[in-house]
Amino acid sequence: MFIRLENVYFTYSLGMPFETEVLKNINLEINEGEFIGLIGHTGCGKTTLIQHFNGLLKPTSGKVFVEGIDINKKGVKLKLIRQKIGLVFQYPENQLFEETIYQEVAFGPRKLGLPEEKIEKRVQEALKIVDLDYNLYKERSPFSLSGGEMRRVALASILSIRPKMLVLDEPTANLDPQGRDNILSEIKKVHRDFGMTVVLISHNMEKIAEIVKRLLVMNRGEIIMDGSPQEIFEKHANDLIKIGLGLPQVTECMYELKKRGKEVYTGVLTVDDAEKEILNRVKKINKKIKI
Amino acid sequence: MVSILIKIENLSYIYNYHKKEQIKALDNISLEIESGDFISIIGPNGSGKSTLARHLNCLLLPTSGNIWVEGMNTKEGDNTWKIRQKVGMVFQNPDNQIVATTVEDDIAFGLENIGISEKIMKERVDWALEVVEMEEYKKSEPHLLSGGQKQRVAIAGAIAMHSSHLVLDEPTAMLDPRGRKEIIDMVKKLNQEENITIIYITHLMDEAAESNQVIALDKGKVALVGKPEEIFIQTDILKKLRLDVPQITELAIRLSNKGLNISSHILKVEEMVDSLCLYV
Repeated sequence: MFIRLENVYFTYSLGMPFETEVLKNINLEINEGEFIGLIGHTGCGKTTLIQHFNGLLKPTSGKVFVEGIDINKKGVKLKLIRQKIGLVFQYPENQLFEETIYQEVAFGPRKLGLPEEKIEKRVQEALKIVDLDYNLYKERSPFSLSGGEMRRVALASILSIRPKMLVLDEPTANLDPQGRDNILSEIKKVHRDFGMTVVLISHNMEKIAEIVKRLLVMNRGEIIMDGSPQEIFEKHANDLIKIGLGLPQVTECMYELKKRGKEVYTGVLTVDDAEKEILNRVKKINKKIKI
Repeated sequence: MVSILIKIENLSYIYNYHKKEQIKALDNISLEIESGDFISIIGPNGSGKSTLARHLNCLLLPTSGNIWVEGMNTKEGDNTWKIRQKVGMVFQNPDNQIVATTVEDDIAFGLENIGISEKIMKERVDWALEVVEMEEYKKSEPHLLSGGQKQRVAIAGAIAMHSSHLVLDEPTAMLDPRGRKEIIDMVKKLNQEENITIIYITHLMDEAAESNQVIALDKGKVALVGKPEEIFIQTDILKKLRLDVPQITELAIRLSNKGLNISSHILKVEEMVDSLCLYV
């Protein structure tokens, strides 16, 4: 097990007039190599939750363990925890600050005290993952790039630390379909090729359903669903609609068919799944008609 | 009878016109927008969507070509403020558009600037709040509202000016699914009930599917124009432009190719469910 949260509560402005309970009794285990999607409305506590993973926030009560270590205990070096868990915040391009892309991506490894040749290797590797040509881009200013490219540089500057786990807060917000697909395929790549554990926050139900293996749904500070996307869409479609999160279009289609009394499987995630399910069903019924 | 309210003729726009590194953002675009239209503009980043939108209320002026808004040429300086009252703008980031400390003051801001009497101003603010269904937040502080609510305040500010056109530049890009639905429902209502012409820029094809005309831009040129059901069946071109096809349309096209009697023009889940009910 990589991370474990035990009865975590978190309250902003504790003891103040605007005291707000943001996390309520969170119990969560994440294993090495998992690919997890985290969904929920703005204000439901997603961002607050992931900031607990590497000690940026300390729980008001409860415990957070990373590789078995209680990270909020005295004497624990959070710097080491933060090398293991890389957080990519919303609009990470706003955090770019160096003069060249090389310097930007080298910042993390340099802070780790690596020798220059190793730093260079890490920069090359990270830029390769995000599909930016090292020789073409290394001397350019990060501020001369398009929005999608800037975001990929920001991602590279976390990857160069070589975290074991990558946590991304809405990495595709504000990107066009092409920019979004680029970032998502890079995230899939680090998961597949480096076995990196990934937690992905997104509002894009269709894309998240397609790529993650496990889905966490938050509402009002609690994790209310935890399972494979198929399971969640099959069993809890109604609840998802009720809390206003909606379903991918193809899932919604199957769900509506079921509501009208059709025996279809509603755990479909992609157009492929839906096509197969509908064709199977049509064949089955036609057989019945023949009999 | 329909009347043409916005006419764009051979519009080109070059950034850095007087410098070395020129970028041609719009390349000879001609379009006509009719009264009561709901137009969505789609296209990859850098295709010129926002540049086009900024021409509609004189934030940018054509390098060559002309635009007329209700007969007024945007190039003539005297028209600028009249046109800006006609064409309201709502941008992507709600936080960048709020100027006042209460919702009602924020909505009144534009009206104050054109010197409208207090009595009429109050009426207009109340009306705009009612249209965007935010009456109960009249005295609220804007920063305490949700993203969707903030965007509704921005829309109210625009319609309080009695704008006859509303240009929305990716108004839902920063919102969650609930906020997105709030805004698209609101925009449909403004179009249908208040007869406001809508020009809606988006990356989300299910939003574009709600409009009655889609314009796809590519490298500053109009690549496709037509009704949503005509546009979204051209999956090859859309994919070439690196745009999405709505899941439900893709499914409809595939099933119809497999021999099922399902229209490939389907844009909405409901239509699909109705057609499938006959089969499954």
